[in-house]
Amino acid sequence: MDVEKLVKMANQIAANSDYGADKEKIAATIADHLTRFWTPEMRKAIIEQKKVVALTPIAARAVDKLVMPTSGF
Amino acid sequence: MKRRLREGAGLIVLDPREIDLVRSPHVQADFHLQLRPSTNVAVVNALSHVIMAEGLEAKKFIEERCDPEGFKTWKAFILDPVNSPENVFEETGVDPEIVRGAARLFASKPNGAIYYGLGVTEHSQGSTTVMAIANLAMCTGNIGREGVGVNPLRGQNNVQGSCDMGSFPHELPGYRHVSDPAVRALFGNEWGVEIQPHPGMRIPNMFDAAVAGTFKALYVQGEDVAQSDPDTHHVTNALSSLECMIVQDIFLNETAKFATVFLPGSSFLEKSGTFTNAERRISPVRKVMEPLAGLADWEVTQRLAQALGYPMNYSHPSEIMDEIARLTPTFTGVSYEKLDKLGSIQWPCNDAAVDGTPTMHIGEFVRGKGMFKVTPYVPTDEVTTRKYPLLLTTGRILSQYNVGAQTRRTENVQWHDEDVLEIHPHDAENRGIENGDWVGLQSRAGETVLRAVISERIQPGVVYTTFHHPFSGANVVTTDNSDWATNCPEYKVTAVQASKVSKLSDWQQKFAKFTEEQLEHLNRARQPEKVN
Repeated sequence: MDVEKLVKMANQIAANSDYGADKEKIAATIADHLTRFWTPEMRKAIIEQKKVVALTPIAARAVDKLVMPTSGF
Repeated sequence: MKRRLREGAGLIVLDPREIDLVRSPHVQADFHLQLRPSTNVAVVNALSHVIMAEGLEAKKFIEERCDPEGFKTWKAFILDPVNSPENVFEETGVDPEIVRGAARLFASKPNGAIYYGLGVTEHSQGSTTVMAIANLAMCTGNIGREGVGVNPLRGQNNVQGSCDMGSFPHELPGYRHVSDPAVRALFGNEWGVEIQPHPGMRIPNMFDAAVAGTFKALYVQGEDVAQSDPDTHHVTNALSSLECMIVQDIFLNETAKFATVFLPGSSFLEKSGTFTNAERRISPVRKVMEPLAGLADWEVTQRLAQALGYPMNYSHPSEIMDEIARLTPTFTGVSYEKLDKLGSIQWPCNDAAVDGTPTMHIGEFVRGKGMFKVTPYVPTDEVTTRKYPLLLTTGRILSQYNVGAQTRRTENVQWHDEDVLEIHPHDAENRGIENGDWVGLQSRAGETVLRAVISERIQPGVVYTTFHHPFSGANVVTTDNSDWATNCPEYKVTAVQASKVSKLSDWQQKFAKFTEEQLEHLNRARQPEKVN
């Protein structure tokens, strides 16, 4: 996967979801979006690379909530 | 719509161009909000801001029909001065008084309908704009009766039908997510297969994976991705990376040039089925002649499934509709017999609505209470720079249909035989460009050359073209930027530079050579075999 593109997409999702004071809730919403719409391979790639390319703080918090996929590749 | 306008309905147009609807015989828009491409969310928020700040909202509708907590949060958001027309003026370019006038007009009418096209969806905040539009309709009480509502005008005649049937990588028919075990079991039992609980890839993900070598085969039916999708260099690189690509179409289109296998398609006159339009109206399409290629499209797909080892055995499209009715609650009452009897049916059509549902959301929304969503304006990454100081926005013309695969092979080319670049006189003069000159158009994705048409339909700083002819290479210039939620490409916003040139772009020269080679292959294949 092109991880830079995935990071850009995750940051975009985060920027468009980041409204309000409850950051925990926002991170959960972003994580839910990634789970519902990204393939397991894409989710695995973003979990594995999260320290390499810059995720925004709220996107990183959402990625921390993702469960590493074990099937569906 | 034009009839109602001629009868005196008010008209508000939001478009970066002065489109025909702004001023045409017997029709004159009350307000034209000529916004800068990419600022839809800011403008729609500003309209709602004015309505709420001036107390013009439909208080009774909101109280009775909408979720109070959602409304409270949204109200606090929308009343923030950051969303005022004056505050967003610098970004949107729309005179605040015009925004205020439009908001007052929309809120003052007993019925207000909102129609939108791809100028809403083909943006990095396309989804957010749709939500902002829904907020605007709810806060003015314009949902759930005839003559109001939010009406998306689709890019093709059966976009709605494709969506209804689960043409998303994360849904099964009836907008049901694949993560729902009960839904998977329902379809799995019918089809005798196990359905994965994970979303699949969207088209841009497929192209990325093809280039990475992890995505090997593609079946493209009735779509010309090599011309229609953004960032042509990336798309053709992806198509060339596949091990197997099957193209099924009624023409040897641009994508077919990359195919390993070509299967002839059937036109709408050669097959039976249904189209569903934006008002959820399922209309029958009846075969009037046998397919020239021998098989209707669904029969080709069925043969392919059988060849791959899956026993797909429908004997008529009506059996496919019966299966849809068995599996999809909103289609339970739909059958070919009923379609023949009624002429067309608007879903939901089931025991609760035997003849279908002309108007949705009467009295109650599908989810219960209407949910206002906060819609912050997030500027696109595709911004102008010193290197790329203009914004390109792309669109369509009436006489050509989409990539023109069907219409530019007809006499319609008499109306539109090439895509041109509309440029404002001010931008043209700065660049020494005159009407009819060749203009090189460069973006971070690529470069193409188009003929200039100097026009005041667009504002300074904005240029416009169509994408009906493959040689124009409009999508060589558009980028991989896309909507945050759906990945719908941002065709409407590309930062570019334009300059006068004397020859075609490298891409166009390569494209001409590649096309010539492909036609030679075709001609050779068509020659009768020589007998020694």
